[in-house]
Amino acid sequence: MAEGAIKLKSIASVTTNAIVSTNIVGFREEHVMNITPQFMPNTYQGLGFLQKAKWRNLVFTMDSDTNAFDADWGITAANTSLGTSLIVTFVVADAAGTAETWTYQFAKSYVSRREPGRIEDGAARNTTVWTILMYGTKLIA
Amino acid sequence: MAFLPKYDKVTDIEIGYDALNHVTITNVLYFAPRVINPDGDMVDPMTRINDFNPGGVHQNHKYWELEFALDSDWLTDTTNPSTRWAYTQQTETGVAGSRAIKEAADNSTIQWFLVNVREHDGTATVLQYADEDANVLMCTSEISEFSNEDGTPHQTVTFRFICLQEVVRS
Repeated sequence: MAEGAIKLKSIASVTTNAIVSTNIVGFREEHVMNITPQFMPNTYQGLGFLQKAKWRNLVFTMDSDTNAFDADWGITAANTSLGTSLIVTFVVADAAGTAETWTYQFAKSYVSRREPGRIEDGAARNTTVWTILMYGTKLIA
Repeated sequence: MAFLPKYDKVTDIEIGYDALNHVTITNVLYFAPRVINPDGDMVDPMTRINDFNPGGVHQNHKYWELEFALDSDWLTDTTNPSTRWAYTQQTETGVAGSRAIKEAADNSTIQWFLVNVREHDGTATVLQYADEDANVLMCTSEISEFSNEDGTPHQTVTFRFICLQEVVRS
């Protein structure tokens, strides 16, 4: 079995609710695992681990914003899960520029945070940061 | 003999379940071990009620938090991008389905975790955090970070682990 590194060069797009946003500046995926070491009182050797829930926080930084989440998020009602798709497409650092896709289970993905956007004359870049909380599966292809 | 290291770089990190069965990850950007001691190694001396003199000290539990970052990730089969090492490499002896990270189940313990470091003069130092002991080392976090800004040197995936036993240097 061959083994080796895969090197990703850039983010091509994020597709949410079938809307393709190419104005993406950054993407951060935090795979949060609620795992804590366990100890007995007055002993110093750890006994093992207590495992609880896992989920992912997906943080998208857009230049300047996107309307991709408009159907799932609002001020006056509870957020709903994403409707049809949540796919991040990368460009692999090879000669052909191969595409790699990370597909998240959209029906278990919710907008959890919209950082305050700022529109300022003279700023190098005006960005909006969207955070999605998802607890389903992720497929890489 | 005194231990006077002068670290240069991480040559590779071996993760699996023994010396013969592991993945050897070479695209390591950094490795950073630190000790977690939530309130310091020792909390305040324990004073007896209405007694001015401390009666002794109380020591807290400690453990390692190990972290390394890759550029961008490591595959156990380069023809298949879904074979990220953490989701495909066996980590427990005799447990074929054991993995450092499982999507929808408890993570497995990691029974082989070895960091090969190159010293400034070319000699090798080995830092071994797990040696086929069960339930002392586990992956606790995976963070992928990508940027389209010009000049970004690496797109990184950072893994974090908890280790409950001593490091062995050789």
